[in-house]
Parts: sequence; structure tokens; C-alpha cells
Amino acid sequence: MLEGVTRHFGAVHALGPVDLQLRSGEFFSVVGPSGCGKSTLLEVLAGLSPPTSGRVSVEGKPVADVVPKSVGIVFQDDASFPWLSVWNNIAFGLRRHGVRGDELRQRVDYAVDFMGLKQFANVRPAQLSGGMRQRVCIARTLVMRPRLILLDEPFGALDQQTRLLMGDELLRLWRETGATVMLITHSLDEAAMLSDRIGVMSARPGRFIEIVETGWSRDRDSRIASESSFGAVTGKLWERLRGESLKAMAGQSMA
Amino acid sequence: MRSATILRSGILVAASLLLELLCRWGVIGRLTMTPPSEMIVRLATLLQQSKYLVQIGSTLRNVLISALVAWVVGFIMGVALHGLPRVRRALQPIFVSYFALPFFVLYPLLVVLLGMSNIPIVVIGSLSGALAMLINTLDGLDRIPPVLHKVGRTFQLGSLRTALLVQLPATIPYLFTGAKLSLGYVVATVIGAEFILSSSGLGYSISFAYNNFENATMYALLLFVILFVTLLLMLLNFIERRVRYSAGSGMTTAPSTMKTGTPMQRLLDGMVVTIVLIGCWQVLHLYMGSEALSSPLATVQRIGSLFQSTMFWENVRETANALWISLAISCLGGAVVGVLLGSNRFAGAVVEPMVVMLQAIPKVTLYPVFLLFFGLGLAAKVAFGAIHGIVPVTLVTLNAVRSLNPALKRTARALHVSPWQTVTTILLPATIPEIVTAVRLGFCLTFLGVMVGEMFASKRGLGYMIMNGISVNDVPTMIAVTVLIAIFAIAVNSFLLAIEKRVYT
Repeated sequence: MLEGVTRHFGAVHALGPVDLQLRSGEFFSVVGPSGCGKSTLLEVLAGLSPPTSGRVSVEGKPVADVVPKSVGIVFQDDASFPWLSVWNNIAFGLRRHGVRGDELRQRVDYAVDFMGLKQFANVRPAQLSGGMRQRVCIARTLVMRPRLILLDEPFGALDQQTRLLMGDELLRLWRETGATVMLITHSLDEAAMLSDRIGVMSARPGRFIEIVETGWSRDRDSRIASESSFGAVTGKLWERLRGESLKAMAGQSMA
Repeated sequence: MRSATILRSGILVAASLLLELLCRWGVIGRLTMTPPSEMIVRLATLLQQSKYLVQIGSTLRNVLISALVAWVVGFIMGVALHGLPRVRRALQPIFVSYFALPFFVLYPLLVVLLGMSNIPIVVIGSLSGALAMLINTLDGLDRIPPVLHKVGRTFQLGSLRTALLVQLPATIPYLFTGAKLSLGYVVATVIGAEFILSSSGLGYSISFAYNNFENATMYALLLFVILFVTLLLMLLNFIERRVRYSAGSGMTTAPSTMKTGTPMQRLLDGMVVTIVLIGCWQVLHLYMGSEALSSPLATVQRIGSLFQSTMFWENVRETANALWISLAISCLGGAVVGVLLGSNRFAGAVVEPMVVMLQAIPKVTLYPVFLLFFGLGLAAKVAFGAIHGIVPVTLVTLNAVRSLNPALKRTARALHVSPWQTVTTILLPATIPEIVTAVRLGFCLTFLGVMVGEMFASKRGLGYMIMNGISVNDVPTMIAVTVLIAIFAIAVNSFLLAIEKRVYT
């Protein structure tokens, strides 16, 4: 939950004020023009970056300068450790928290299996494609059993078909873990396809100008894109975003 | 790539055979070179004599100590400087071209300061190796993707655990590269120092053999040096390929660009560095006494008096002559060879490893060969300077041509530009930054080559003045000339670096 959160970088007012209350167990997406502070919002919520003003709390506890244990984060950049095998990458966080022996093996094996990495468990990330490496990072987060999963454009570097399939897997993960998911994306289709609610952000300084409810059922997948109501959702998102994107583009060309 | 390796081995075998025949037929005289087969036979007998084994052992010990010091000091300094961006920025001009600065001219000074023993050899060896280690440590730390730090925080790692579990493993490939390069510089510097001025070691044995007209022994020892360095490098490259896990996995992120600061700040930084250096010098002078190290003031006075002597200007003219001729040969020759190899993928694959190897062998010890072929005098110096410079110019040009954006070439074809116009309107403008880099590296290394040439068995030039200063115990002149050489090298390097910065942006 965020209340009146703002973030300034020097003289630049990057974010807010933003008020946002995530519902427990929902799939929430954030869309907005480039440079509107989407990633900053995620970092503030995760405790990676302190808010300049306002309050941030997760499960009722205020977030200080530390990432809460119940929060898992998947970044846009490839964040797999190139010096560890896939299995050891996924086990990294558990080991740091003292999980050992059978429990470690079971939980890592489950995550490896769940993300379809079984035959790659012993290879190093350098031998995997970008999509597979991002799966490693998702598995590494998932294995910690976070109750809030934050994803910062995790599929940004992948091609369209891979993105669609990864989106389906994300939905499956969300259903099976019952965690709350917040996904940052620049793809309107992706947001419309995956989310319960979509927050539309304005040009910088970013704030929510609309929250769109999709009303999809919980066992949806990417095939939802063929339904007529899907077009209505993306259309609505674009209608709200077009003006903001134009503003952002003009701002960039002047900078 | 397989066929390139086979062809390369074939070329090497053919070249050795040709050399053998030329020596046997008397095209290359007995006094100039012994046939390669005799070198091998001779080497086998030398390796059974304890006299030579002792010298080789002494060199290996110096190399090992220097390398260990260089690795430890370089790594610690690298980590420290990474945390001190201000200091790092001030020292940046030294770092960008550390391998091309003639640190070697400091060696005679070290001999004067520390006496003729293994200590100055280890000091100059460690110094040359530590910089390579330091720079690769910095590079590795710069290249850790910021996202990995964030990952560390998402797992609630403290700064110590982040350092051990994230930063250290992420930099290991770079540390290994640093250790490898560092060892290369240490070997070249130690053998070179032994060769120029010492009383023991492999380099000394080569120099001794040359001075006593024992050509057969000299060539056998040279062969040993070349074989030793080649095998060492092959081993290190092999290990390096195993350690390297990068290839597209996170570590390919471009390094965070260093903030270079405003010209005013840079000037201030330069002044601070200069003042600190002069301060250290003064303190060392007070500690060692005028006999061993003249003061900064006395050196300035000496420079003043040197500027008035015709003898000094004759030596400058001698050095300048050798320098500009060898620089011209390096730049033109390197550019032509580089363009040819760069535009033909197969030729590049065959020849490039040989050029890289040529860069790695300690060329100082090869100087006697140049003397035997070209005779004492300008020609040997020029040839020696040119061989130093032509290698980096070739490599930079080759890479510039090879990595030229293929879309540019296709654009040229789409616009029906003639081949010659493609060279002048596309290739040249697109590679100007690399051309400037090549000229700068070419200058630095040619200068180093000429200096080394003058330090050994020469009767003229600035390098000779340094060595003569030692033999007639004229410390002030020696130090004055060393300082002038250092100032000249740094000034030209900074000037070319400033041009480089302009053309890159």
C-alpha cells in the first residue's frame, strides 16, 4: 500500500503523489508512457529506493530501506548469476536464509520443474536463451514463496510469441501461489490480458489517472485476446494513454 | 577456424625452414644468425649446464615474486580506487594507456636508488604488472550489472555478503584476465631489466653472450625465452577460456561511463597529482641524499643547463630522427597490413594470433638480433622502434575495419558508391577514432622501442644519456633526462588522448 508517495531525484520530480492500495491476491498491472516513473514506483514499493515523501507499507508494516521478506522482485535486465548453475541460481536466496538439506532440494526442484527448467538444471545461464534466463530469475524469486511479487517489465527483452507464453506461465504461477502480483509493462495487450486491474499512469511526474477493472475470470489465459471485450479494454487503455504518451514524447525531444 | 590454425602452423614451419635454408646457404651470414636447428641443439646442451639453470632460476624467481606482488597490490589498489572516484579520476590519464607509457625508463633510476641487485628488477616488474591488474579489477567492478546489486538486496544480503557472493564472483573473469596480462608484462619487464642492466638472470645471460660474441649461445637463449613465453601464454589463454562464463549472460552490460569532469577540474586534478609526486620526490631525496637522488630543484637547474649544451641537442636530434622515421613506418605499415587483414576474414583469422603473440614476447631481448642484422646505429634503432609500433597499429586498424558496421558498407553499395569512394567516404570517416587511437599507441610503443634501443649498446640519443649517467656516476643528468622523457611521453599521450576524446563524441 502506498499513501501520498513522491520521489524526487535532485531537481527532477519523478513520481507522484501516488496513492495505491493493492488487493490481496490480485493481479495488478501498471502501464504508462516511457519515463513516467513506473520502475521508480516499483523500487519505492520494494524498499530499494526510499520515497522522498509519503508512506509505504506491505502487509501493514512500514517499508524502510530494506526489502521485506514477503516481497519478491523480478527485474527487466538479466539478473541471473553467470557463475552459478541454474539449480544453484534458484537455490541462492534459500541458502542465504539458512534453508538446507531436504527442504532446500525439494523447494528448488519444485521451482525448477514448475518453470520447465528440469533438463537445464546443471547448465550455466550463458548456455540459455534470454527467455530461459528470465525463467531462472522468476524461479529464483518464486522459490522464496513471496506473498507479493513485483515484476519490472520482465519480458521486455523477449519476442512477442515468447512473451505471450511467458504471460500464461505467469498467470499459472499467480493462480497456484495465491500471491499478489504487480506487473510493470509497456505493453497494453499484456496488461489487458493478464490483469484483474490496470493502473494507467500519467507522463512525468507519474501518477495514476485511471484504474481499469477487466473483470476476467481467475482461470484465464492468453487466448482471451480473441474475445471482443479484450479489444474494449485495450482501446480504453490507449484512449487514456495517448495524450500522456504524446506529452512524454514532446518532453523527451526537448530534453 | 580449424583450417586457419592449420595454415598458421604451416606458415610458421615454412618460415622456420626458409630461415634454416637461408642460414645454411650463407644468404644470412654465420655472424648474423645461427640456423634454427643449431639453436635447438645448442639450447639442449645449455639446459644441462648448471650455470644457465641458475640464471633461469633467478629469472623465474624474480618473475614469480613480481607477479605475486603485482596481483595483490593491483587488486587491493583497484578495489580501493573503485571506492574513491575522485582519486581515480585524477589518475585516469595514467590508466588509459598504462601499457604504452615508458615505465621502463625508470629502471636505471631504480638501480641508482636501490643498488644493482634483484630488488630494482622486482620493483620495476611489480610496477608494470600491478597496473594491468589494477585496471582489470576496476573494469570488472565497473561491469557488474547494477541489477545484481538489487538482487542482493532483495535477498537481504549485507554489504560483506554482497561483496563475497555477488561482486567477487562477478569480477573473477576480469581478475583472471588482469592476472594474465599482468604476468605477461612482468615477464617482459623482468627479462628486459636483466638485459639492460643487471648481473644475473636470463636477460643478463643474453646480453653477456651478445657482448662476448657468443652468437650461438645468445640465439639458443633467445629461443628459450620465446618458447617459454609462448607456452606460458598458451596455457594462460587456455585457462582463461575455461574461467570465462560471460557470453551474453548479464555481464555483457556496457561499463558505467566514468565522469571525466570539466576541463577546470581535470587541470586541478593534474596539478594535485603533480604536486603530490614532486612532494614524494623531495621527501625521498631528503631520505636518500643527493648522491643517490638529486632534488626536484637541482633537476630543474640541470634541465636548464642541459638546454644550453649543444651535446644535449645533438642527442635529442638523434632520438627524434629515429623516432619519427620508425613512427612513420609503424603507422603506414600497420595501417596497410591492418586494412588488408581486416577486410579479408580468413587472412585475419590466420595472421591475427601471430601478431598478438609478437606483441606478447619480450622484444627487449630481441634487440641484439636487430643489431646483428642492421649494425650499430640508426637503422637498428629505427627497425626496433618500428617493430614495437607496428603491432598495435595493425591490431587496432584490423579491429576497426573488421567491426565496421556492415550496414554502412551495404548502404554504400545501395547508393552505387565506387570501391575507392567507399574507402574515402565511408571507411576512413567511420574509423577516424580508431585511427587516432592507433597513432597514439603507435607513438608510445615506438618511443619505448627507440628508448630501449638507445639504452643498449648505443653511443648517442637520450637513452644513451641515461645509461651514460649511470656509468660515469652523473646522477643529476640521468634524472633530468628521465624526467624530460617522462614529461614528453605524457604530454604527447595526453594531447593525442584529448583529440581522441573529441572524435569519439
